[in-house]
Amino acid sequence: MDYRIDDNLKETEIKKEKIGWLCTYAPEEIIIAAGYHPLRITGKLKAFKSEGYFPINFCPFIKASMEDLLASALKLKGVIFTNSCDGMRRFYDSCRAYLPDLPAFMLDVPRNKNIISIEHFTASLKEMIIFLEELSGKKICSHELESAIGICNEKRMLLKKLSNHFRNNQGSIGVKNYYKILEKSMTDEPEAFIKYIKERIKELRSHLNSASAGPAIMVIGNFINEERLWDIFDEIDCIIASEDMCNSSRYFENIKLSAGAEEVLDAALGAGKESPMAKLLTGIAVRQLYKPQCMRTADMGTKIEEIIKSITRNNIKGLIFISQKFCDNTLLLYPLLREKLAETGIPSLFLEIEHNNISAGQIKTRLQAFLEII
Amino acid sequence: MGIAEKIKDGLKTNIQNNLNKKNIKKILNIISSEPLLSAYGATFASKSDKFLNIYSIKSLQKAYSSRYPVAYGSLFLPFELFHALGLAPFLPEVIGGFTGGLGLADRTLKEASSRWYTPDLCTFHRSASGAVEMDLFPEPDFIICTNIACDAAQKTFYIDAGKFGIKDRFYLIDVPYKKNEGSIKLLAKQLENISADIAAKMNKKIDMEKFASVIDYSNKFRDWALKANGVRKKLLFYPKYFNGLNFILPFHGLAGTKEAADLYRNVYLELNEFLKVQESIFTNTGNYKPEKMFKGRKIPCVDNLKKSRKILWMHLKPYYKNSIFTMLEENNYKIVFEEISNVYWPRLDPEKPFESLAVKMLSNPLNGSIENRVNAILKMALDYGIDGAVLFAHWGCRHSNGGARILKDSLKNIGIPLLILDGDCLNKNNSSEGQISTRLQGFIEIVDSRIQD
Repeated sequence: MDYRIDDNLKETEIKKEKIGWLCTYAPEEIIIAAGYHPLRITGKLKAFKSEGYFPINFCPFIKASMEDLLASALKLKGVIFTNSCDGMRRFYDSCRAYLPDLPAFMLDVPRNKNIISIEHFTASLKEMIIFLEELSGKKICSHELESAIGICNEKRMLLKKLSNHFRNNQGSIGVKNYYKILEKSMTDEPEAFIKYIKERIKELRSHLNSASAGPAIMVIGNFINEERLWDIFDEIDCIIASEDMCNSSRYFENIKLSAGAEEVLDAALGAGKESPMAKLLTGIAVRQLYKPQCMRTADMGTKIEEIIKSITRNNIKGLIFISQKFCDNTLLLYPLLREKLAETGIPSLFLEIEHNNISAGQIKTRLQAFLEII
Repeated sequence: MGIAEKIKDGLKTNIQNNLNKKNIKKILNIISSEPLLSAYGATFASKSDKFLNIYSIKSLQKAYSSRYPVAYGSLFLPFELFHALGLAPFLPEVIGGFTGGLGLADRTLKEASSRWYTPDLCTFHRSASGAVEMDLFPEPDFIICTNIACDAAQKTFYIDAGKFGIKDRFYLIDVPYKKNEGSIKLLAKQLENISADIAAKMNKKIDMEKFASVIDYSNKFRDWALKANGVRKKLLFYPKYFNGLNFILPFHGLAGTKEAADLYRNVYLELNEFLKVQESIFTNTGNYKPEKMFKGRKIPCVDNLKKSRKILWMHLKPYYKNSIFTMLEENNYKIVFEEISNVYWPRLDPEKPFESLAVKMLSNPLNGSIENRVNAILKMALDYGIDGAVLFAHWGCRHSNGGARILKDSLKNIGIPLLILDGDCLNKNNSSEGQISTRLQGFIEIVDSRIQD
């Protein structure tokens, strides 16, 4: 019988106080350095009470996340929001208005990539540090931040390895399982997760299954964390050879800066007279702004280039574009992407879904039909 | 139907029947010629309306004329920058609104849908994108946008830059979330860099004298707008067809021009005349007799004025024919102020244009936290002594509608009811007239009953 990774993903007991975060532009290393556990808010609960806080045509992921906060089940000490979109800004406002006892911080993330943006983002990171220091009552030292960066980078590197295994040996991990592991990486104690994933990767190396069947596809989207959706991918014949979502590659890519980003970092550091803390923060700012882009950034052309490169590199036969409903940033990439894909002859499937409320049968039929044509 | 309305209807039919850029340009050239424009202007009962229409036509004609470098701009930019650089601004979102008024939205939206713009998105942007695809807009030399209040603008403008092959002339002015010394400095630097880049691409240098003159006009506009808004704090008797929701262009696209300053000077003078009439009714002096006419308006009686209900209007309005404003008028409800008429920025310093414009952008209550908007709205509510407020919840506007609950609760705390009126500014098929009418009637009953209590 073929090897299958352990899918009995037990939740580890989190001893530290938790700080919630929502977007991959929020650097976990700063939360860790402040002595907290960084916990990604994943919108576990179905929106019910939160429907009363937002209009009907509003991001379903945000509504579900608000439900998580209203239920207080996550027992958070505070939340880091990011200025990622109109929806997230209003989520932050609603949190402050209706959950006044939950400290919330808005991290301002620029949309451009240049020296001014690096300076701007570094200043926002400094404010985030002040927020966390006030919350904990203790200063964050540069060596604590350095150590936290080390932990996060190790986790990112291991996730990258896992993702390579997934690409080449999908059957040994399973699609649903893979995304569950990714979710675990964003919610578990980092050290415990690192231990867990190291063991799994060791096992994977010694158990190479026969190659999975089906065409190579690329999946692109925003926060797509639907077990039922990934179940369907396990049932149909295709290989997810490349992916670009904010709960997958955009979370762990760019551990090592590209040459261009290195140059920007050098320029941002200027004469090099900055304090060790300032250097670390500038490094975080450059890593975040020069990682694979979210659809929110100004230069959609670079995003499309990233996608086209990945298509070529991974011999992709078809692209599946999945967006949460009412996500303007993501939905407005598709017209441009579709046009570019038409030039390269790569077919694409557009799926608009609702967080925690997908129509599995309909999606399966559409996916099967799409796979038939490619 | 008045002459102005007849002319407008004729133009509308012409454009609908022969929808292409060449025809739009031809019509604009004809109606913007001085004798015709003066004749057209003379058909308006109100000076405010007259100058608004004349300057809107002139601004559009300039953008379509092919004689000036054209720059597309998103709504919340400091358009002083455009005028200082000698760029003819073209505001696709505002013209998207025109497509609703001209009865073209069905066609532009259909075109956008066929290009994979989903119906969940804002119709202003979808309609503008459809119009670009249909080649109805003038070809831009530059595209500038900002992230204030809207995610969609930056995206659709970027797509437009690709369509016109000018990605190297696309600029996103990334406005920081908070207003502080650091963010003013960073934003001013962006504005300066972008201006320098645009000037270099036009083989020019930034003309700082021109900049200072533009800033001066912007300050003049601000002064007149503040005076006009001051009059409106007392005004209940308005010129015929006056609707403050029409005045987007002078606040944005024309900011920094003599036209905007002149327009608002005329608005102020006209509103002040009406205020004088109103005051004479209250004090029972002067020659104004109730029920007689003043500039095409029946002069109301004291009782009628006293029973007027004051409304603050938030966000925009439907640009197609609708019964909302007639219904308010019939029930003696006056829109005494609109969120879009708020002068939120301090005087600009001609010596420091980039810094001043950065402050202007960062002072926009729609930037950053909803607290900024709530504070601005509460101040307007108190300044204008309103009895109720209406938020037109335009389809797809996550920014505005996402904060509706907080706005409603904040106004409730000071005893003011807010009606969140779901609808669509452009697409009449996405607004239920019956539902809007029922909800408006219910709101009127609530406000009336509160005042009677």
